[in-house]
Amino acid sequence: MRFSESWLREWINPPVDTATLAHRLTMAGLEVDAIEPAAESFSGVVVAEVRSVELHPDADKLKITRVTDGTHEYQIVCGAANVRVGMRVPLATLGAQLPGGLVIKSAKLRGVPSEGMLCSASELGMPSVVDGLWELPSDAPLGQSIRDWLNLDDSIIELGITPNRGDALSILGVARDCSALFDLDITPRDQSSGVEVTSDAVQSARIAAPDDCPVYLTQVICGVSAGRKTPMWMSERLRRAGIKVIEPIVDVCNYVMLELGQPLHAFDQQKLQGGLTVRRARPGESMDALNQQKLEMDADCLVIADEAGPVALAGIIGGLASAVSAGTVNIVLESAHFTPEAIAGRARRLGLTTDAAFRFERGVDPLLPARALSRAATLIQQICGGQVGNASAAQGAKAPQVPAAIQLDMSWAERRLGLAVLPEQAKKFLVRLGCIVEFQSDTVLTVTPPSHRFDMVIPEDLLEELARLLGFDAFRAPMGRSPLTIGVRPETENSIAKVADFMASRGYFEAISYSFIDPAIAELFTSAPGIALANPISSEMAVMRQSLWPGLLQAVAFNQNRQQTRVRLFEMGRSFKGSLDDVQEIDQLAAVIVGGRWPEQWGEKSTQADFFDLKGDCEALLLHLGFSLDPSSDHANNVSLRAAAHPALHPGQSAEILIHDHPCGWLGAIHPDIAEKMDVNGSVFVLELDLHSLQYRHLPMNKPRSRFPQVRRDLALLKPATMPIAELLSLIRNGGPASLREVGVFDRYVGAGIEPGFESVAVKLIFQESERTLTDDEIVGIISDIRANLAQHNIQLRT
Amino acid sequence: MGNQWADIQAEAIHSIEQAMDVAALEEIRVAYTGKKGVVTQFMKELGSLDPEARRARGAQINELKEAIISALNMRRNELEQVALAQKLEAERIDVTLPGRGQSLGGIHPVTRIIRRVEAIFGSMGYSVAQGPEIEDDWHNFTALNIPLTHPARAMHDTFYFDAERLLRTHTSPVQIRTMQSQTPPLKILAPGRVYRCDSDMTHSPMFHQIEVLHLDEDVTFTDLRATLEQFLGALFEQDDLPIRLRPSFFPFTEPSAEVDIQCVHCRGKGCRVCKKTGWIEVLGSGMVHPNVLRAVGLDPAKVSGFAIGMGVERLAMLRYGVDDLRSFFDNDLRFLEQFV
Repeated sequence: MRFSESWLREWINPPVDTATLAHRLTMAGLEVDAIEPAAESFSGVVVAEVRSVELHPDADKLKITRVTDGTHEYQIVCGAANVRVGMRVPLATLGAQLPGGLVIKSAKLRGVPSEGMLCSASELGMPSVVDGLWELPSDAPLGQSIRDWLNLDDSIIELGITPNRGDALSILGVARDCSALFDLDITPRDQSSGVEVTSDAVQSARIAAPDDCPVYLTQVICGVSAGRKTPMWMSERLRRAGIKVIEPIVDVCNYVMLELGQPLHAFDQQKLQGGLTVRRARPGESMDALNQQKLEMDADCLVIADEAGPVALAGIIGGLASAVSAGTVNIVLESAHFTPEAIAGRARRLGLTTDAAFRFERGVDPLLPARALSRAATLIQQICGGQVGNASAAQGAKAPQVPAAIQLDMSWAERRLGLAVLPEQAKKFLVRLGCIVEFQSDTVLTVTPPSHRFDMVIPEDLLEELARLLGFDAFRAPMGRSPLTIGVRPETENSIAKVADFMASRGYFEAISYSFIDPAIAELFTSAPGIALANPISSEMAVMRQSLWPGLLQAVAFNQNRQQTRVRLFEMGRSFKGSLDDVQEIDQLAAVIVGGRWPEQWGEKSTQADFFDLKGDCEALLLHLGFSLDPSSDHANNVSLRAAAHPALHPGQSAEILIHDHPCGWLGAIHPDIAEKMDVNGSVFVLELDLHSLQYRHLPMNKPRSRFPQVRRDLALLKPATMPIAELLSLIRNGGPASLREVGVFDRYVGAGIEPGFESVAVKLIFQESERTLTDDEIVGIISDIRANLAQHNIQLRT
Repeated sequence: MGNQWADIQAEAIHSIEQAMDVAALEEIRVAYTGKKGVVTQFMKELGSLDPEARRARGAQINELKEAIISALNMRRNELEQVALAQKLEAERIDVTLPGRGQSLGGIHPVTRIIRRVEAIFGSMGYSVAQGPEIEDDWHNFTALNIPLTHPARAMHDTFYFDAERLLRTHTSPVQIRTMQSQTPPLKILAPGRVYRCDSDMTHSPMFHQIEVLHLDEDVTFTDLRATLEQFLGALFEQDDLPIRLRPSFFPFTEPSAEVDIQCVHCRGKGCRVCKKTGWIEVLGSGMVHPNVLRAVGLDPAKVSGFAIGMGVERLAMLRYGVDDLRSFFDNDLRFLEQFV
């Protein structure tokens, strides 16, 4: 909310400067978003009247005028088309400085001397309604500085009011907070003796939606003057509040809303058909609103209707057909209370933002309509004339709700605030806010909030008031006692940070990609339908990801498009599987590599990374996290890989990762079709691991070491090319004795000299007994047994 | 004969000194002390002399032999030193060439902030809690005292799946879930992704928050302030960092406060970062609203607590001088490489 500081100071005038006032308001919860000057900087401009106008002898468009400031006459050459005798205009006298820095000097225009300049509104940085000179009202005081007359040295204060403080959306509301902050009385400016009733005209109105509208007041004013004009003081305050000046009656309604906080509406009575009804809209009803928008309404919308249909969307915007215009003679003023529940969300849904809806959604003082109506009728009568009828009221089902009394125990308050507030001090603050406060005992207060503070419901609400008026800076104390608990993780728990740090140390950068992705991309990675958003921000962010790969591949494409050929990224985040009724949010690690095995360097030949680079990193990570890659260990943390098909992966380079036979991830080359669709270049390898499976490991356990020598034997074997190495190793391991400690591959060969369909594999075997030394004879026997076993699986010794 | 010995010795020494490699030395050694060498020949001739002369001649021969062997050894040593020096020189490398191997990766700045906040609150006895990102309306709104008609719902532009299910708009529902599953005293912090249906220069549809909750008997507003001072001072590594609490409104806290720190760039003098105010808003906080406690079956008369909510990207922008929110989600290596 924006308002003129001088307007506020007319109601309450704290003895502090603008900056201090703004600081105090901010620190009390009415945050000052901005302070702006009411007008641009200029000087030396006074009110003058045009005495005579003659044509310039040597210029078609220039006129020679004589103007007076009440004491002196000046000759001014002027080019404005609207200059005429008798009008009052701003005169920039010699030496005046205009916005932008222009200084007025005496000059000759086409040979005629000119002792100043007559100004348009825009030349003074003010909004202009007409081309040409700014015509001032005929009562503008001659000779007075324009700045003084219009109080342009004022400031505009802009407040960001939180949703709970609808009561502060007016000059009166801000004044009430100032009253408590500065311990000052308010001088209400709307308390005249009331308007004289000179007409018996009334508007019939009834409420058919009693829960939505507790009270609906109307007042008829007949015969308002045709030449009415909004007074300068009012249009200036409206301007400073950021509200457009439209027409005097509408302007008064807006002015009273700003002043008191009650939104008002005026109808052209002659455009209404019969009585008004406050009711819910009927299906299919529509209305052309003041902003020319055609509103399609449903039963959720509260309307004001005459016998022909809706004439206003209650509390939000009026209808175009019944709007007040310059030609309006008789008006119906409306001042009503609509409940927040009846208004909230409707404007937004219809694409409207109005000052009325903004206030009614947050709640308006339910007892305010009568006061505001009286204020508006008085101002309209003053400005526009006319005969005022009696205000008439239609009542809803129940009286407007006003806040109930709250018990405030000051010893409880101290326990919650951590600071003692004297009961007398509390009472003073709350009374200043409009509460009725009685002492129940020495330390317990009974507090009845005023009708405009419907946000005060429970004792905690009062705590907030006390705290903000004391200032949150008052709550200073050293850190209280805090029982210490040991927060160290179990040694067997792997932290997320350990995983991330390891990946970073292997050359991967952590990425963060969006949790929602394009369904067209999602379906490349899985056939299961993703969980879809009902209101996605765009089609590219419409379903929850079931894999982190799409985001990482997009990041690869992004970087490849920026001349990065070697990309290594990882992400830790959730994938969303299952259905909406059975969502599985799975914490995952995903990684991607593409490009060179090494950063480009002198010391290694430039080769492209392949499956085994990423597999190596994956295995190193798993070892780092305490998992075992040794298939002979039957620990629950034993990791293995097996070839398996995945829709996103190259069918020949795709593996499922298992922890103790439980699937926990994937590793493979991105399928070329998908790489093309995702716009990534080169061979891309991806990894995915469920972090949950990696969370716990075994505590390391020492085992006795053998004192006896180990024996190594190497075998060159020919195995069918289709048989996985892991199977070969498993055959050797299972066919060997307990003394076979280790089996490993150290070379492989396919090509000349090897029968097609076969592969040569060099295997090392390490034997060791724990209690004795193995003899050569024993080893020969063991190798012979292993060979016999392998022969049964079509594996021969290479000769 | 005396001169003869001296000549032989001088000649031998001379040729030893002239030898330029070990092979040449070996030839000299054979020529003098080998089986058919000069010295060996002299020895063989000793047998024909009488004992007196034999003794004298023998001593001379030995002297000659030792002189030659000694000279040979000395020269061999010299040559070996030279050879080693040559070998080492040949093995000289350019130590300024870059080291071989991998480059290092890095941790995302958002993660860096989350870790730091976890570490600070961890040292104050808080532990990390998690909750789902696909939430229900009750946990995200209703239990947090945000009823359907409440204007605060307009503050959250929510992604919905259906009438009930949504993407959490804040990490506060983790508070609710923790209070449902554990009993006070509670000290938790909940970092994670949150989502709002908003995308422009200063809004991302996905970002990160950290929620902090402390619940116990008689936790006070003053405790909140003290905790904030400790935390923010530690986060920005400034012991007496001035902080400022401004009254604000959140449906789930009462009283509620927005928290500003003195601008870390200009130390309060006013600059572009703090928009000339000297203060920077960093987080929201407040005392847990009694309706929130009641929603999870706790008695507001018996327990009280505070909650703190902070935007991770905002803190990361401040701490690492990032000025474009979108940088966090582009995954541009040139951006990420700065956070090694």
